[in-house]
Amino acid sequence: MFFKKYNFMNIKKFVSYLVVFVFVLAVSGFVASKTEAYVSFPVGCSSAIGNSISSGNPCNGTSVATQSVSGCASPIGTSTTSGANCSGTSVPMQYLGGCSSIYGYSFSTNAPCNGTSVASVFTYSSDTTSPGLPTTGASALSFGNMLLILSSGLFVLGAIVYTSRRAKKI
Amino acid sequence: MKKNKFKIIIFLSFLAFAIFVYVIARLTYYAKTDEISVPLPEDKIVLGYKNTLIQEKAKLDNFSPLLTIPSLNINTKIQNVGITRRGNMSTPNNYVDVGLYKYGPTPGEKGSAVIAGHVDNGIGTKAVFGNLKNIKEGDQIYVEMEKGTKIQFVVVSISTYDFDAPTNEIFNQNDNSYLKLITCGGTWIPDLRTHDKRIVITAVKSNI
Repeated sequence: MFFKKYNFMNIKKFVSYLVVFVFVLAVSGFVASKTEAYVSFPVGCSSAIGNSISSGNPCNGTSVATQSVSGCASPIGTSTTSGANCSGTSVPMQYLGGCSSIYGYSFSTNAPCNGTSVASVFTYSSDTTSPGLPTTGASALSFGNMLLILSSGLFVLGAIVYTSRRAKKI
Repeated sequence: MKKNKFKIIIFLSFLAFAIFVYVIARLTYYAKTDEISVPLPEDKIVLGYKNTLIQEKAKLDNFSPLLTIPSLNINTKIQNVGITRRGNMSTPNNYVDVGLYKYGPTPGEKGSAVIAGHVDNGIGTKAVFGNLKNIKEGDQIYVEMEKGTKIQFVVVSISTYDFDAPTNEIFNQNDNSYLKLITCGGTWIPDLRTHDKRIVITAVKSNI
């Protein structure tokens, strides 16, 4: 009896809620990923030196690639021989994108933070007798997060309204 | 057919509610940490072991080590934290507790016991150390690592450091029994996903 009264239009309405929900989730995910992305060099480049590993274009944004700097083992810091910036930029690179130290992997690219092919693991030595300062904030992610809450909340609200209407019809 | 559709809708509704609850919990309570095991000198291993034992003993006593700052209305649990894969001090796995650097001294011992707490959570509201910047010199801080053993500290300085500043003077000040409280300050750097400053409160042990 109940299912005879069941209005098929409500399913359409519910599906439309679902579509909106998925759309908002996708938008918020996109916004969040844009917030987290680090774009200081062209895609496939970790510095202004050489060519992109994905497109092959020069990483310095011109038509001719800058050659690697002698005295540099990575794009970080300055050359041990000439003092030139290893990144090929006007300011020496302190850390790679998505890195807050030379240890571990980048947040954004997952590439080793030391600029080489193998990541360094933090070890205590005569130079490093204490760890770096902790990262204790998360607010910059809040816009995307608020959208996530809002969209999932709206969907729940839609579901409650729908099911309560159905319950009234029983 | 319609019966099945209705069941699917009910299932999706529960799923949406579960996602909603998860998102709320993830953003307001649980905090991401990327703590790892790293090679450590023997003295750090010993300190880490000792602080772990203290936490284990507290669990047996059905107790959690506590940090209390009456002037800021803070009364929170202390977790043990280690080192992240980037070589930084790790942080607690939620926004309401604080984390004691377990490879350093226990609060009350000679040296610098370092405790970190989040300044805000995933939706931008204040976390446990959201008001830490308002602490004043002379304010009292209490740490209770073992049930019934409260240690008092008095704030002697409030400093601000760059996020990547050398930390030797924070972690290795050994001429007294210090408690250092750290949280984020300044502005967010999207590229590095961290704030550009750290607020460091230094307190020294005093007699109750």
